Amino acid sequence: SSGINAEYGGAVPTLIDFHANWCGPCKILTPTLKDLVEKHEKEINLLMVDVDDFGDIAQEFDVNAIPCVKLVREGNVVGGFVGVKTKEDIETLIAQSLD
Amino acid sequence: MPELERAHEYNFDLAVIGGGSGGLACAKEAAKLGAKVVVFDFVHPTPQKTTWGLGGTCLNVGCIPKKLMHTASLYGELIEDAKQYGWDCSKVGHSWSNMVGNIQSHIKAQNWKIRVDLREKNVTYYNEYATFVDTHTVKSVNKRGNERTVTADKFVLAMGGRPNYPDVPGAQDYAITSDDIFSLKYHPGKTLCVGASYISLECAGFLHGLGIDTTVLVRSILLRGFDRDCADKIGSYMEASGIKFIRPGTPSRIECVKEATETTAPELRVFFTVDGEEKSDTFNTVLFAIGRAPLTDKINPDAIGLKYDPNLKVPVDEAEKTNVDNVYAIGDLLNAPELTPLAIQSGRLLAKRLYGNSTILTDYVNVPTTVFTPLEYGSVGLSEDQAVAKYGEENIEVYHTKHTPTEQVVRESSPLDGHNFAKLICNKADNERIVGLHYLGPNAGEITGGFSVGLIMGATKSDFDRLVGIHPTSSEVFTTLKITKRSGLSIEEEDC
Repeated sequence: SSGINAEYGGAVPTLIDFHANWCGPCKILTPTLKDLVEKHEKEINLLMVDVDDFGDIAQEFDVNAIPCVKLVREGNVVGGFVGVKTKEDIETLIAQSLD
Repeated sequence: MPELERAHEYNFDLAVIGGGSGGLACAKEAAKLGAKVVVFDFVHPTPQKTTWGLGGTCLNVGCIPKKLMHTASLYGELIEDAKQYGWDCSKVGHSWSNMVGNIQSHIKAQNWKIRVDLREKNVTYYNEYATFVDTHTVKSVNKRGNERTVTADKFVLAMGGRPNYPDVPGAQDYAITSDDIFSLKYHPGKTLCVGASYISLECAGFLHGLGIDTTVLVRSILLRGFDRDCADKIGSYMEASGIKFIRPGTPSRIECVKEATETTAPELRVFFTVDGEEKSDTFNTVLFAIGRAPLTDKINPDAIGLKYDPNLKVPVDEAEKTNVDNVYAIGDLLNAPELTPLAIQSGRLLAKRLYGNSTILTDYVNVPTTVFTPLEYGSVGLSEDQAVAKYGEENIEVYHTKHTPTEQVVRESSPLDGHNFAKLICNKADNERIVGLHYLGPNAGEITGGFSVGLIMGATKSDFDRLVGIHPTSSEVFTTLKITKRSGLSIEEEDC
């Protein structure tokens, strides 16, 4: 939880990956996010939040369906999406949100 | 939606204790009608430390995983049939952990969906154990021991029940119940199911169907309360399929030869009494299914003067009201069939009466049900014994027959043959009105569910005769029944 606050409030944009181990599509999306963050090292961070362990935080961020990704920067949610997306689509979404 | 005009100062209009099939249906319906609702749900872990999420018995440790494991075991039968239909099924095995993993993933996804659904419908949910302080106040505790006090205008008790353990040395230390089997982390190994309830027989049935060495220990008769002809055929079928029965026998103690590990079942020595003699055998898993007890005594009922029976069932009037004016009870707490759809129906209708000006009561008569033993059994209405007791033997006409599902004609002849069965029980004093319908065979739930509307509409034998069946199906057997039990004629099958 303190990890979230640190990332959430930081200047480096962070993707928060809301997932669970019973969620099939999550298992497809998470590696894509990891690839993307590795490719854009130092420009974007990744934070994994298991909704079974952190139900309250999921509720705070209005997560109703997973996989759900929220893009945060300096304490604000600036973008996000639900469901599986390609790496290219996610890059486009991020670029649009950070403009 | 508009909020109700509130004539009280309590925290909530309605507090529901128990987040299972009945409790959730009631809570959501009440919220839809504008009530301010809270649901308390908390699962005390089993002696083997098993626990589960929001949704109650049906979703977590009842109907849902049971039907899925039953289906898994039926696939084993179908694979054998498939060979007769020309399929090459030479390399087929079963993984207990894959099956449990997939079933548990489904359940956990539903736990999540239910939480989101309650939020979206504005129902407050506390994962806390609630007990009464007075007729308008409960105290609740979460798993960390933090307490809160909540007041409400009305309460609905929907805590359901939990499996009983016998007073047998070693039972709580080493044995499991239906609360544990559906998430068992290791393969159960050689299993002993204790009990003659539908829970014991359904579990024994699917375990055996998955290739597990299974024995059932029974004190007297199988499936007490169900139609006797059908119960006997279920037992005979299970025995013919290779499930061992020790009958009559009772367990006397359980000793541990080798402890369970994370990945392997224990080795247990089970002592039981058969005909006054003590016998024993080793098993890896012992599953007790000897009855369930409502959780009535766990909510501090004396604080509100709640009346309940010695067996912990809660008596209610036809509107589900207990002896306490603002406290209602639904679901497995009642002296009524312990079935999810009944709990859901009564929960919804109760909410509509409390907050929606409805007067419709739940109909507890002619509720269909199905036992998912390897030979499935669907029934609606009375058993033959119940019908005779209610109407008198001279007024009851029983039509019955054996049948063979067309899909099974490819099977080689075996002791399993001749168990599929259908029975209509009619009241001769009332135009041969159908008072009971019983079916043994595949797809029992689908078939019985369909025919049940006939019973609630007052169908007679001539209505069933008027109906033209669909061919070739098992359901059509109910459209051509002609042999009565009274005639003594044989129901052994003739050639088509």
